[in-house]
Amino acid sequence: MDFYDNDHDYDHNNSSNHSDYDTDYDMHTVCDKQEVRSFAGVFLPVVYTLALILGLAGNSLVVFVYLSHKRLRTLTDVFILNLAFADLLLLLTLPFWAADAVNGWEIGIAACKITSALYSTNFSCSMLLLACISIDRYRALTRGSTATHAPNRNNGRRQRMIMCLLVWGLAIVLGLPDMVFYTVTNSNGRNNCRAVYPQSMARAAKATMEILEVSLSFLLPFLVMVFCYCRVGVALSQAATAGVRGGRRWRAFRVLIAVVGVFLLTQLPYNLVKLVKALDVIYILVTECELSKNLDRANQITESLALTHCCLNPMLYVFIGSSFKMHILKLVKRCSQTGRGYRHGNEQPTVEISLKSGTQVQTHSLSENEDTTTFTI
Amino acid sequence: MLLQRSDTKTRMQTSTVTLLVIAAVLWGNIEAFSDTAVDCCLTTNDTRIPKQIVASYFHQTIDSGCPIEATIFITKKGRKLCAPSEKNGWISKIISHLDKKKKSPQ
Repeated sequence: MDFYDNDHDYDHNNSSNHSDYDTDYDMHTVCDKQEVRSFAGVFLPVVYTLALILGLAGNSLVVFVYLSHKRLRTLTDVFILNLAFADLLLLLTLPFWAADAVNGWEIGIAACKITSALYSTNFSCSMLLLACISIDRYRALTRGSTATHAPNRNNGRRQRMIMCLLVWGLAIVLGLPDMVFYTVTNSNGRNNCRAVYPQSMARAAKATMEILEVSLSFLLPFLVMVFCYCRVGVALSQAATAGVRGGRRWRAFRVLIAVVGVFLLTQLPYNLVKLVKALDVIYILVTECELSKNLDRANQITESLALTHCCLNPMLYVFIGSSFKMHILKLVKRCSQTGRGYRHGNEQPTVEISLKSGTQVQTHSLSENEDTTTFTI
Repeated sequence: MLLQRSDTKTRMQTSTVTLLVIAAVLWGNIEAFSDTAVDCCLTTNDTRIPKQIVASYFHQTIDSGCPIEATIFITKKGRKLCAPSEKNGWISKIISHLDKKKKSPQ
């Protein structure tokens, strides 16, 4: 009650000091992030548009060529086609996120849930498929020449079907939590489509789990890839001593290094930021507004970088492969033949040589097994 | 032939197990985008705020995407001050004062 009685006094004596009080309180005001939102409103739509154009072009070319001209000979072929589908679906969510960055989420809870689930399903599907491709390439080297002929055509087809169903099934299951937890919330007069987890979960337990998951979600696929490709690399260098020319060996190595390097370059920064954010949830490390803003910006930039991976997949996994180049050249030739004769005819032999180099490397390390050109580097 | 078939089987099994492990690890942590930067109190101050400078208040929750819970007092000058979320003496007094004012606008 004292409190209230003093109020008049306080008002009279200190009314001139109120503005001082306001400035004294400076350290504990709300951190205004309008700046960050304005940055995101420009940066994200630009990056997403570029990613959308490049990604749609690359991935739909892959789908088109595979479906129309290339036989799906190996498990890796099947995985690459699925990878292109997953990347396409992922890219289709980008216009929604771009609109969200500009105006906030204005198209309802259902759209929020579907878009989020589609995003995470295809992101995890992409990750799983990259790991699958590395496993299959590794297996192509380790399996003996005897085993390759064993599964007949039907058996192989069934195996592919099972693997694809397994990958997509897992990816859909991984997308389900987003379907459940994502919803539209309103903060600072702006609608956001974001995950709201039930409060029942202990904060520390949740954050610890998140750290484990964050580090492993990137680390595990990465370690699988590094392990498999290192073994492939060793096999390649052994093949080289057995007579394959240095230039061709280097060409194959280059592909492996590019695949692992690009994965590391695009995914590592994003996962580091995620790790810092998860640590912040437990220990509340970020108490300065400027630092918090920088973390938000870093999150936006690294997330965009991580996303560019799905535009690079067609180049890394398909266009570098010489057999695919040949198919595209055939397509181009067919088109230009009607228009202006047979001008591209002399390009064919060079491409065939590079194709041969790919198989040569392969067959040397695989003891002349023609069927196991599983990865056409 | 028998040997080859069992070989195919084990190969399938290893890749299936690898997939399952990766999937288990991926679970739940892939969150979609839209980490929209939200204005939040990052720290709070338990120093009493004179109630006559406060115009309104609201609660900051973790649900809204903020790291901590807090009570935010908006001053007449439009500043947003961060106070603890606990309903201790001075905070609940200002809140009830503001609620009363809201009910009977002068």
